Amino acid sequence: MIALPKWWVFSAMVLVLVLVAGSSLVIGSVAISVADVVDALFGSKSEDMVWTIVWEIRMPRMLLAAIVGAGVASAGAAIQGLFRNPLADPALIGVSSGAALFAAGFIVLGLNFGVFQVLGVSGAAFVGGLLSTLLVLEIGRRGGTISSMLLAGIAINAIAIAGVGLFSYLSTDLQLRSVAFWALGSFNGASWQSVGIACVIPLILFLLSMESRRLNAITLGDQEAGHLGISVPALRRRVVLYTAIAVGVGVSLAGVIAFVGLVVPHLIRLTLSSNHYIVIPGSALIGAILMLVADGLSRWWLAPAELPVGILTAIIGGPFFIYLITRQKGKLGI
Amino acid sequence: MLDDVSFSLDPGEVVAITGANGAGKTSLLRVLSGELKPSSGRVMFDGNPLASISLESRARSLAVLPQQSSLDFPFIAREVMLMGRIPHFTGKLVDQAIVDEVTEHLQLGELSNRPYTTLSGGERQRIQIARVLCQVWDCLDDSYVLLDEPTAPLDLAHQLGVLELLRELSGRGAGIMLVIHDINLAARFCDRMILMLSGKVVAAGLPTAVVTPAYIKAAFGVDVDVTRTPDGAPLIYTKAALSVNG
Repeated sequence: MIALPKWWVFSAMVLVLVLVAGSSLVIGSVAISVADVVDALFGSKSEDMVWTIVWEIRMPRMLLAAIVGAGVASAGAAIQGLFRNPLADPALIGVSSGAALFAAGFIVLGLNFGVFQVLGVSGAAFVGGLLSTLLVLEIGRRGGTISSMLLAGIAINAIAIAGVGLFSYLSTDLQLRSVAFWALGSFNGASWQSVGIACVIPLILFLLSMESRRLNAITLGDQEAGHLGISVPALRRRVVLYTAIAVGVGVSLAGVIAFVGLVVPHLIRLTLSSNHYIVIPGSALIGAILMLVADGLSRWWLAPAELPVGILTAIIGGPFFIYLITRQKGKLGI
Repeated sequence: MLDDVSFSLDPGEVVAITGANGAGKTSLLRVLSGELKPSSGRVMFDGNPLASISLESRARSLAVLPQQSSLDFPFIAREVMLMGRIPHFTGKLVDQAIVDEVTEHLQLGELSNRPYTTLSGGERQRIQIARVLCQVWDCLDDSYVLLDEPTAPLDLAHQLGVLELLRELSGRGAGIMLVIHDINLAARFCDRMILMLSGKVVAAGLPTAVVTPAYIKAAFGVDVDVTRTPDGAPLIYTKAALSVNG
């Protein structure tokens, strides 16, 4: 446990977030100096290229990465509390793989007519994520226990991933490329419009933080939470739905991003506290920071080419997770 | 699981349920706490059907300790105790003061500042008992506490400590019911005992009336002799152990 006061730690995290967000405006395939970025930020609107790159490309991309990172990490924190398992991940409720399946189907089948045209790949992905989550919820409800829901999630994930594989197999080379890029995640397509849609995530974060007290109670056990006056089935439905929306919006705008929802809440629990009043906002801050760093690296590493950000989050997150597991033996209580 | 069990728990008394494994003790507790719905019959709480009382208001005067806890997150033990205050909206100051008092009464000391996941089984149980007591600490005269084998993982000193504290709380008005396997301890600390077998009540009443060789034989199939402690409580000892090989 860190002995520093919690407000101190939170202030430090906010400071780091601001620094990382600032630097992500400087990094990119076009070299722009810090002074020019500051000029573009605080100067008046102009038609020159620097202003356009900063305001129309980098700014929405930075905001989208930060919002999605915060959303996925906090959703992970809530899902881990709900499942009483520090190894749970938002992907367990089927939202990511369902979204991936619908997106791949959309791309490969070339559904560009009628209602599908309105939806677009992102809309289809969101619908897919929500449908597979509802399916997992329903199977879990019939099974009756939280573990039956977990197992349902694993089964639905396997089926959806098989579906993505099938679509990849049927696709042309060009389609395959866009399926792959989408399945690995990228903030490449960020625009002010996508930032606008992503604004539903902060709302979900607020709703999730309102459940902190009840999430604390449910870590004691379903029975115990009931005896503390909490309706467990209703809480389960709300948290799964919030998670499906936060992660579903994230996946539909930026593709599947691995590991953030698993590693970040874990890190907060091991260093700060297990109390959800701290875990949820803490995960949001660290999730945003980690996602901005990963996105920055994805643009800088192979510049001017870009690496899918999902690969980077897994490369950073995986070894870090292994380190946490080996260092904290016994304390995790898994 | 349960068959024709009629039963009451009054304010200010400690009732012990004992019986063989699978006799229905936990089921009885779960029916009383509203966790299981009886297929026939009903549970009344302060004159109202238990099922008609909302979860929230039930939690403000009925605290329950299940047999096993599944908490796997490194909460500080003190935070676990604070969770007992979740049904109440008494504010941080009152809640902290209650946790301090319970910490003192259960002699938890430094234990309350350690991560729950690093505690031993007995230590975890003491924290869980503390959590349940925090839930009703400020409204004892209007509360009931149901505990499923609270003393099972505790050493002798802490078994006595917990039972003495439960006695004290019943003196302050709380109705307390616990499942317990140690018949001698139960007989010393409880006002009434209930002996169960196969979902039925074999005997119920004062410890001196329940703890008899005949009832113990009926409930456990074990031959015992019953004597008295200096203060008059029944005390059993087994005869079987000597003749096991014979």
